[in-house]
Amino acid sequence: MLAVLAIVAVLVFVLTRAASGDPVSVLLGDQATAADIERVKKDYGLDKPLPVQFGYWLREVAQGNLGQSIFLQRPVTQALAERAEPTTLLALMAVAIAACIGIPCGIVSAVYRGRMVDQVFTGIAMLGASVPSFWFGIVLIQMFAVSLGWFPVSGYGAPDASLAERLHALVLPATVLGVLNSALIIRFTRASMLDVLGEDYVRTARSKGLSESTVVLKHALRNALVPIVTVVGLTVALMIGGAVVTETVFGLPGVGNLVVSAVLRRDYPVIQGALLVIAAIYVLINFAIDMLYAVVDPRVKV
Amino acid sequence: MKLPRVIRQLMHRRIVMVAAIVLAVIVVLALGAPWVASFDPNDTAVLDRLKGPSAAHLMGTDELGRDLYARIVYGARYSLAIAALTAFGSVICGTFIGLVAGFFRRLDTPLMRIVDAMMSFPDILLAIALVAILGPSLVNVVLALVLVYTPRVARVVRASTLVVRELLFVEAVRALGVRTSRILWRHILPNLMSPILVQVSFIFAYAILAEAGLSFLGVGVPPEIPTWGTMVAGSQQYAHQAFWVVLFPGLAIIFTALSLQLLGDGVRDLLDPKLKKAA
Amino acid sequence: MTAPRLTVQHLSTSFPTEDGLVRSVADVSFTIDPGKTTALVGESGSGKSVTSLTLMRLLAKTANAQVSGQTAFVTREGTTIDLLSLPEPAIRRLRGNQLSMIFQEPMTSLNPVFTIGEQIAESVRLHKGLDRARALAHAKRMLDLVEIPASAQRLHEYPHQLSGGMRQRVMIALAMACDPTLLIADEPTTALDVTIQAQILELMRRLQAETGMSILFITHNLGVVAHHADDVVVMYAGRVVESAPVGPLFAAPQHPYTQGLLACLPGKARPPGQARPKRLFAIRGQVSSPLAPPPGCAFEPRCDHAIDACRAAMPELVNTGVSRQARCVHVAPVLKEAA
Repeated sequence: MLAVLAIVAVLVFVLTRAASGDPVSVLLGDQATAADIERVKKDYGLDKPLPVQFGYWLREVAQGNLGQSIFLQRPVTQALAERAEPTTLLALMAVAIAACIGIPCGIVSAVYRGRMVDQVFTGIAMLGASVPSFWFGIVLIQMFAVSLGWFPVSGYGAPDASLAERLHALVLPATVLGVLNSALIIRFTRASMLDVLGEDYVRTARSKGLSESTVVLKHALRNALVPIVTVVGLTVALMIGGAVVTETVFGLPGVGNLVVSAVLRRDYPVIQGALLVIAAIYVLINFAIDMLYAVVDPRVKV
Repeated sequence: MKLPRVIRQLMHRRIVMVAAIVLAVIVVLALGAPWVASFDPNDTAVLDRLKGPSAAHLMGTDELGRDLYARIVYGARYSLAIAALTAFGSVICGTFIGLVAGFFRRLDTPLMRIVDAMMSFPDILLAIALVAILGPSLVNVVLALVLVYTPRVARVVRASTLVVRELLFVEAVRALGVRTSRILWRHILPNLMSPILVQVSFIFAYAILAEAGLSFLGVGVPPEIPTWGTMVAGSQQYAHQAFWVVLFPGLAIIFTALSLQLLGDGVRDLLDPKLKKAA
Repeated sequence: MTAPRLTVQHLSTSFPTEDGLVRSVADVSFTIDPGKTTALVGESGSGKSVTSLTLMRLLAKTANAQVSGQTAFVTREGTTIDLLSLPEPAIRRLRGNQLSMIFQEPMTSLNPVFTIGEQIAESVRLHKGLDRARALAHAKRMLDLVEIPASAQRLHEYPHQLSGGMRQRVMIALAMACDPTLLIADEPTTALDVTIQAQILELMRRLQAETGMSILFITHNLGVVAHHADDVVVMYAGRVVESAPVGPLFAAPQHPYTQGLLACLPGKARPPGQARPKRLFAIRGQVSSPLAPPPGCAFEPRCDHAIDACRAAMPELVNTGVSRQARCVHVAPVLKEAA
């Protein structure tokens, strides 16, 4: 895991440094003199050789300092922290929706394999993976926010809005993300359940005279959990990426939105910091999933 | 030759056949755009703006009076071209990396660590960052997406290579002193064709969706180029008064991506049990 | 004469597949007496496992099996029911309760995420309505019954912590937990070491003596049959080709297939007093594909006694003696004696 994180750090650094835009000129405008540019460059440490800059940057990161946003005039960490709440809440709500749709549908699909229900659910899963999230967002906004007025068209509520109001504003975007990402969960759950349902111990459970629902939900599901938990964990990670587009469509002040505007404005420190944090979270989530195996499967106990 | 038998068996599955036909129709329409569309996609006609679907304009007009159907059909050329190039590019690069990683033990770990690191970024974010570096143009979007999807292909190819490498005939061929590159090219690669084919199909689908997303955000192809994504981006503010300007490009994306995935799934279902039987 | 515990008449199970209809079991009839062991013998693909799964109604739903025939099972309460036509909830009440089954693969037949005690207790709680504590106590008694040492500790262990032989004992404990009257054992010892095999078989024999249950013992191992079965039913290509009590079957097998099977036994190959023969006997040929059965007798392609009549039509299963039946043109049918 550490090796991957290290490479991630290098990649992030190289990527942002390689950007062709020059934020200093943009910041200072056309009237900037050479001296001004030199001064700003020195301020931001942009005049040293690259590996040295990388070293400085790493040291800062280790101390929790991700730099200063050029355009927002705030530490990057602060900008990220401010934006973290909507994105996190959105991701969690979306995962909950995706799991609540995906797992039961996957189970039903597996139990009634080959029948109409299975074909329909699998088809819906395929469809979910083919719909662009921004389009689906626009459609839902049109239907539920504009026509029916049930939800705000965009935004996250006033700055002093209550938690309930904020969650209400997140319902549509979470639905978009959740429904579209349930596709993956349906497929994995179905596949995992099918594997387990073919196992000998399921036959044993039936031979004991247990009801079919007990066999499926108690004996089979417990064993199918490992891949299911994996994919739910993966979905959490996917949400972070999915949030980028959704936040833009719904005008949510989240991390995804922040990154997009930072890219458009060539705000290096923000891009760097955000990419690093997001990638690190990804890696940590995958690591956590591995740890979770030990809890779910007694055979994996150390 | 493996291919004809696969096609024959694919024909037994109705849904896959339907998907293939839909895809073929889309491709034909795209290629034959000048003959199929009765309007020029860039012809603005301010008097006719935001008109609904009618006999003259099958899918209505957009905010500048351009015929939507023409734009969709021409847009298909760009969207499909970008996605196709992405699919082939990432498959070629990914196969190369995967083969090398799977075959040469010492290169495996470092290569796969890099692959893991690249896959630690959400696809869209990585694509955005890459396009930001390279600059917004059609070619750069393709390059960025190739870089995003190459790791995915590399992983799959590596896994398959590991399996094939252990098959006895590879040892036999090595014992005969055949050059490594020849082994890779003539003996291992043909056995990887099935997973590779499947990947082409899926990445094609992902690329369509990714390009649309990037263009929608304004970090993809320049808005003058009519891809399905830029169409939605440009017209979204008119969605409430003229919903079709957003509906049809979206449907185009959905149909294409869905057909591709069904096709990929169908091919995978067919080839997988065979692999298991052979193993 | 007491009524048989289970009577099976003209049981057939077929599976529709992409390549055609596969008749795994065709016109199978046999009886099992209370307290006795009936062995169902045949090679792989003869339909013996499918027979047992059909009786327990454990065939996969996705297999779309077509089942016909009748059975008569005498329950503990004394009623006679047809296992094949029972509604699903009713057969579930019997399963694990009066009618239980143990399978061939002890390594994979127990759920890896539940403890041994929980799995046995589950059965008891379901059928006898005991609470958790009493059910676990009963589970411990069952583990003692099947001679598992340190049973109190084992109750809380997981299957992967036990060896194959132990797991099979646990399976037996599980099957016996509710005091069944009929135990179906599908090749219970095939996957075990030879020494463990003997122990398990001894255990089953003892349990049978103690509880008076009947056993339907499915196997391809004639040695086991000779020592542990009371009656034998020989199956070939989905049909019963011979059935007889164990003694007469071994002494005078009537069907060429049975004769061939017995001749394959190394012990049999050497008549006492003579030198060891140079070659082991093997029945020539192979079982025909279930999709392309021979027009007449299924065994005809491999039979040294085959005549034209064998190719023409499938021979009928006829009575050939006291409790004996065989399906061959060469056997002499005997009229059934008046009861």
